[in-house]
Amino acid sequence: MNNFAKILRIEGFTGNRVKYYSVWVEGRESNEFEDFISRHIGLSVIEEQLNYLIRVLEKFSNEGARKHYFREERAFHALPPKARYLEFDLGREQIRLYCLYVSDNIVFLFNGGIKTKDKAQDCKNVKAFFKEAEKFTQIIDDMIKDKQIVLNKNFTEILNYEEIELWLT
Amino acid sequence: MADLNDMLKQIRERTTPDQERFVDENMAIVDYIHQLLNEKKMKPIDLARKLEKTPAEISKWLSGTHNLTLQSITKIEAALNEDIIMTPVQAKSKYESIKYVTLKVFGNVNSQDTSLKESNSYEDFKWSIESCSQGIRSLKSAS
Repeated sequence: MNNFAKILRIEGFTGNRVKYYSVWVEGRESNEFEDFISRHIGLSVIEEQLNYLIRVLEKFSNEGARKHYFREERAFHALPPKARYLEFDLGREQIRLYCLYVSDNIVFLFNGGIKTKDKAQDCKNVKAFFKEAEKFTQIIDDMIKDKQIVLNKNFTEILNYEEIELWLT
Repeated sequence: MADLNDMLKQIRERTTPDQERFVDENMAIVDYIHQLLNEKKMKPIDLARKLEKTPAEISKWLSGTHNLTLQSITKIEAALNEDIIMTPVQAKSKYESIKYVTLKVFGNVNSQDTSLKESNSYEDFKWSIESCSQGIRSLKSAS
């Protein structure tokens, strides 16, 4: 992973109840969420599930996010992971998008992939994305607690996201 | 390469009406189950115990992104003793009711006064304080 990343707003959803953000790692062609969409949009095997995922994000943008939709990864280690994921479980190939739920109105969308094994840690498609998402999540979480990332008083937006640099090493 | 907004628009446009309904209905059902659990001060693990399922399985059911079967929904309905889904006919039968309330209205109307009989104005009727009190008591007992 390169040294630093920036935070950016994700527009493109119709509602305004959720501010979506992602991260753009230095040297990469696009932000993490855009990379996730562009890699999967043409795959017919998960087309239906990707449609469902975007519909869920669209509904959140109009109604607010709900924490129970963001599932926890079974821990790779002793501490519970902070990164969560959205995934439509239809019993076949499942596409998993890693996220950070900050509040009903602030959600970070990272990256993900098609899970081909029962456990994410055994799946080469998602394991690396989970580890990165966990790294982003821990850094962002610490910066929110330290008030380096400033939220407004209602926890509905990040006030200084354009100034933030996430140091990844 | 199309930008992100274009790609999201493309996905929205290719999503079929039944796919939209599937997500919307699934989310509505799961959100309602969570509301019921909150009202009953239950946690998902309590529901898991009632259903004799593992917490992991119930967590998946209640994630909002799992394809809940009718069988699973009715199991939850039975465990919570609540309706979660119903047809419009069932809902109408359960919730529609018309209550008739009889109100006694008191007023000092002299029926011998023909000018009042022809009048449509409330100002022509004289109300006594006693009559109003009786009217209010009747209104309260009827509601």
